[in-house]
Amino acid sequence: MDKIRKTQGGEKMKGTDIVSSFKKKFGKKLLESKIEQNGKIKYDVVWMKIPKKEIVPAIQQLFTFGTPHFAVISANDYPDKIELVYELSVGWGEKAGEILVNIKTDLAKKDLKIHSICELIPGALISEKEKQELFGVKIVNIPDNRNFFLPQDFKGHPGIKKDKRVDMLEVE
Amino acid sequence: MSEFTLPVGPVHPAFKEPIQFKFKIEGEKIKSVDIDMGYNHRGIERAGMKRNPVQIIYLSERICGICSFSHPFSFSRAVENAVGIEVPERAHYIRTIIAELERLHSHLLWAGVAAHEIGFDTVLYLVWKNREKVMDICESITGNRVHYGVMMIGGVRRDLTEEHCQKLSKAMEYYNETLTAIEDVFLNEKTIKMRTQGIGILSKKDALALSAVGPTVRASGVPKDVRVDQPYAAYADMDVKPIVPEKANGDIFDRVWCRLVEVRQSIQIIDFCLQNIPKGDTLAEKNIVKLLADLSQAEGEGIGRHEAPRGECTHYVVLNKQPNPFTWKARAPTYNNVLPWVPMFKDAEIADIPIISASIDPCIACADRVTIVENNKTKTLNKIDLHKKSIEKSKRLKKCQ
Repeated sequence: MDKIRKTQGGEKMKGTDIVSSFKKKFGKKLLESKIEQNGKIKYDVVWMKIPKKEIVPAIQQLFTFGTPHFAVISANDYPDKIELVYELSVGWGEKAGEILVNIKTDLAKKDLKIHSICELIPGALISEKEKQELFGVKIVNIPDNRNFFLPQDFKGHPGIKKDKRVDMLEVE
Repeated sequence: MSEFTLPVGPVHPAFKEPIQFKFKIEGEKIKSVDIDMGYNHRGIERAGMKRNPVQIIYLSERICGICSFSHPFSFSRAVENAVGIEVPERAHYIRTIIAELERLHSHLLWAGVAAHEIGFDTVLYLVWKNREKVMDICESITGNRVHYGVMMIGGVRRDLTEEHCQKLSKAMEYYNETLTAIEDVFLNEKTIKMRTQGIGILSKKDALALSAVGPTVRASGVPKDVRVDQPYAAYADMDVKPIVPEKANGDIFDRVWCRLVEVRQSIQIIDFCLQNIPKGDTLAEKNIVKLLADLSQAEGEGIGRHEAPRGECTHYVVLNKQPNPFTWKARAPTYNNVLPWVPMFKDAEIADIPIISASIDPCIACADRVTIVENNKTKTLNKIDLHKKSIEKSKRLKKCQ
C-alpha cells in the first residue's frame, strides 16, 4: 500500500459548482445553502433546502453532475413539520472526488404529501416506503404503495413519528 | 406452462434473519420476485433518541453482530462532523486497523457461507478454520470477538500495545500465506465456477439505478467505495483503490472475486497502518462526563459514512442542545442491496436461490421452510430440502463436465 500522492492532478468538481448551478436554476426557490468541509482530506458536503414542489427538478438538476448515488432519506420530526433530508453523492469513483449533497425540504404536518423521486432513482423506493410507514408521509406517485416494514394490514400511528405517540417506556 | 408462487421465508434459507421472498416460477425458472421485510423491525433509532450519544455507540454496535464496528464508526463520525471534533491521528489508525479486521472476518465468514450454499462444505470448514485467527486477534486487541466496545466519540477507548502490533503483524503474515489456497479454490475450482459464473447477474445500469453498495455494486463495474471517494481516518494517508473486475459481468463469480481481492487489500491496509501508526493520544476528550456535557450543549447536524464490509454504512445525527440527539438515522448496507435482488433472481433456477440471496452478503436471514402453492394445494419444503436442491444442482453440473 503506497502513501497517497499529496498533489492531485486535474480540476475537480467542487461544492460551489453544485450550489451555483442550483442558484441559477432555482433562484429564490433555493431557500438555504451551505458547504461544509469534513475529513482529513477536506471534502465538500453540500446542504441545500428547496420547497417540496421542487424535489423532482432538484434531483434532476443533480444529474447534470453525473449519475448521483442515492444513500437514504432521513426525517427530522418537528412539532409543526417533518423535514426530509435526501442524501445523495456525485463525483464518486475518483480519489477524494465525491461530493455529498443533502437536499432538504419541509412538509407541514397538515399536508405531508411529496412527489416520489423513483422515476429518476428507482433505488429510492424502500426509503420512500419507510417515510410513509414510519413518519406518515404520503409519497405521491410511488410505484409500489404496499407496506415494506409494517404489516400490510397495519392500521395505527406511523411507527416512530414523535407526536401523539405513547411510549411504552414512559408508561408507569 | 402454469405459473406457481413460491414463498421463501420469512425465515430465509441462507441467513438467520427474517425476510420473505415470493417467487413467481415457471417450472424451475424464476420469472419475478417480490420481497417483504419488517418481520423484526426493532425501532432501534427511536430507542437511540432516548439515549445520550455515548450510550448510542453501544446500541449501534447491536444493529449487526458482524458489522459491530462499522455502525459505531459511522455514528461517531456523524457526531464528530456535527460538532467539529478533531480525532487524534493515532486513533484514526487504530480505527482503520479494526475496521479492516472486521472486513477480513466478514468476507471470510461470507466465503464459508457461500461454499455451504452450493454444497461445498469442505471449503466452508477450510475458510472458517482460517477465520478463527482474525477473531482471536480482535479478541486480543479489543477484548471481544464481536461487539468490540472500543469506539468512542473523538477516538477509541483502547490503545494498541507493542505486543498487539506484533500479533497483528504475525497474523497478517499467516493470512498472506494461507489465503492462496482459499483463492485457488474459489477462483479456479470448476464446481464453484459452474455455480457462480453467469448467475445472479446485476448489470452496471441496474446497479446504479438501484443504488447498490459495497462489493455488490463494485462487481457490476461501478468504482464506488467511500474509502476512496471521501477518504477518512488512515485511508486518507494511503492510496486505496476500489476493487472492480477488469471485465465486470456483475455475476456471483465477480462478487466472489471482489471480496477475495478485498481481503488481500485489507491485509495491505493493516500492514500500512502498523508501519505508519503515529504515537500520541487516542481520545480527543478523555473525560466522558465533560464530553457528554459538551455534547448536550452542542447544536448541529452531521453525516458519518464508513465503507463497511457489505457496503457503505451511513448515519445522520441532529443535536439540539439536549442530552439526547434530536434525530438519529442509521442506514445499513443491505437496505440499498435489497432491490438489486430483483434483477439478480430473474430467470435463475430455484436451486440458485440460496447462492444468489447469499451473494449480496445480506444481513437478513435463514429460512426454515419453503411453501409451494399451486391451485390451493400447498407443498412445503424445509430448509434442508432447499439446500439439497442446491447440492443436487452442483452434482448434476459435475456429471455434465
